[in-house]
Formats: sequence, C-alpha cells, structure tokens
Amino acid sequence: MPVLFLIIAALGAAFALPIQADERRAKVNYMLHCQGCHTPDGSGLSERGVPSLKNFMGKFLKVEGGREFLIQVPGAAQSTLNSEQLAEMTNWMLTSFDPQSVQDGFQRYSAQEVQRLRQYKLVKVTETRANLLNHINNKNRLQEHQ
Amino acid sequence: MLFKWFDKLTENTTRQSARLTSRRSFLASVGTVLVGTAAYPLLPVWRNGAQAASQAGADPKEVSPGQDPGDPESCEYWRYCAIDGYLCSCCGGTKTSCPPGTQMAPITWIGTCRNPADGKDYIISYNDCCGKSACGRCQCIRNENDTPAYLPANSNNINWCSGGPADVVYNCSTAIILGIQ
Repeated sequence: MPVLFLIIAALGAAFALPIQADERRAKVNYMLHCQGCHTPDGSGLSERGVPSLKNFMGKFLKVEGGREFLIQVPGAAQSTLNSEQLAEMTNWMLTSFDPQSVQDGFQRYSAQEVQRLRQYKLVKVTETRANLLNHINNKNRLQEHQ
Repeated sequence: MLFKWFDKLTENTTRQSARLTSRRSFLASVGTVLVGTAAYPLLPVWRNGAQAASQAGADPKEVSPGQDPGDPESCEYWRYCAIDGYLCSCCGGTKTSCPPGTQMAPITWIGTCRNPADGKDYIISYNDCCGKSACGRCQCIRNENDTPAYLPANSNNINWCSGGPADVVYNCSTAIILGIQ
C-alpha cells in the first residue's frame, strides 16, 4: 500500500511540474529551422518578404487570433519539430526577440496547446496576417489616443 | 584702355595655353575620364551602397571549431556535407568569405555536419555569394539532410541569392560554422 501511494505521488508530481525549458535546445532549433530566413536577431529581410520578429512578435499575442497565428503559420506548424520543442522554441523567441511586449502577463505556450493549435491548417496565410496587423495597428492607435 | 588690356591678357593666356597643350592631349584626358567613369563600377570592389541597402547588414561570424581537418578546396571537406554549388574557396574567396566583387546573401539555409576531429555536430550556414556569374570551379553537390523545396528552410536547391540585396546571380557558396548542435 505505501509503495502504491509513493508511485501515485511521484506520478502526480511529474504531471504537476511544468516541462523544463531547455534554452540552448530552443536556440539551436531556431538556428536550424528559422534563422536562415529570419536572420540571427530575428530582424528578417522585409524588402524580400521575410517579416521581422524583432520587437514585434509579441504584439500578435495582444489581438484576437494572434496567439493561434504564431503557431499556425506554416513555417511553425509544418516544421519537423515536435510540439514540445515548438512550444519551447516559440516561448524562447518571444522572450528573446520581443521582451518588451511580452513582459506583462505573458502566458507561455505549452506542448498541449501547440499540439492542439497546429492541427488547424491555415490556408489564407497572407490574408490572416494582414487582418491581424490591422488589428494591431488599430489597437496601437487607440492606445495613443488614450 | 581697360578693355584693351583685358583683350591682351586673354589673347596671351590663350596663346600660351595653345602652345603648352595639344588638342590630342585634351581629347586623351577627356577620354580617360569617360572610360574611367564607365569602368569604375566594374572593378572588383565591395559594393558599399548595396551593403548599406541590406537590412541584415553584417555577414555571419564564424564560431571557431577546435580542430578543422581537411582541405577547404576539396568537396570531401567535412563542413561541405550538405552543400550544393561551387566552393568559394576555389573562386577567389574562402570557406567563410565571398570572392571580390560578390556579396553574401543575408538569408541562407542552415544544416549540420559532423566534425571528424571531435565527433560533434556543428551548425553550418551555407551562405551564397551573389552578384557575379557562376564561378564554375569546384562544383560540389552533397545533399546530406537536404529537404525538398516545399520545406524551404532546409533545402539547398533554392537560389538563396534571390533573397539578397545584390541580385539573383549566383557565384559560389560558403560554409560558416555558427555553433555546436
């Protein structure tokens, strides 16, 4: 009986603990899967259609549908990373490239959330992104007026 | 009186100038300026203007591996495990730098190669050099871990020069170490 109790307690503890994020692995995965186009500091190459992540990526979290978009964008959703690694890397990218806009109440992505979100295939990528950027701009304008 | 003096001065200066210089020498000077101006952009110099236009700016910095065995002019060299193109080492550049007159594309594809000296997997950035016609020397096609074009981040069949500020003309490829996997 005490052994069973110990096993149940150990299992409970394992599930309760958040997954230990491996910063180094996140950075290496960014290098191997994203950096080629998004460049080492996330600034991208806007004149050739590679959007900048730097000081901007976190703004998506503040509009409806933006949190989903960061995972559903084809480069992320269709990457060969598993959901745990994709969650870890996206969290690392947000805190590294846009620390300012994620500092307030940033909810880290979990592997389960990423797994759920990436099931949805985003077809109209450019349109969805343009709509989200509109929302972001409108939100910024409203904040400026306040 | 004053006009007469001025006429004399002009006449003397013109005659002296005509004695000292010939029409041929004048034409030669003008010709030199014209040809020189036209030829200047063709010189193999780093195009600062094009570089300034690049948002990404600086080329990637190499992280030095402890040991680096092999010949960078040979396709068998360990860090070329996933390259597809002409080796810049044979084209007037080096394994990490572009030949004169070309510019490194700021966007690229990145893979890993195992260093036989220490058995570790290194992250390699295969930046293309662009702006001059294909080098044509030391063609090296090794496609380890290459992915199809629909997974573009790890595909070496893409002309990465098309994403650069120079232009789409591909010259050769480098292999720059970014870190250890």
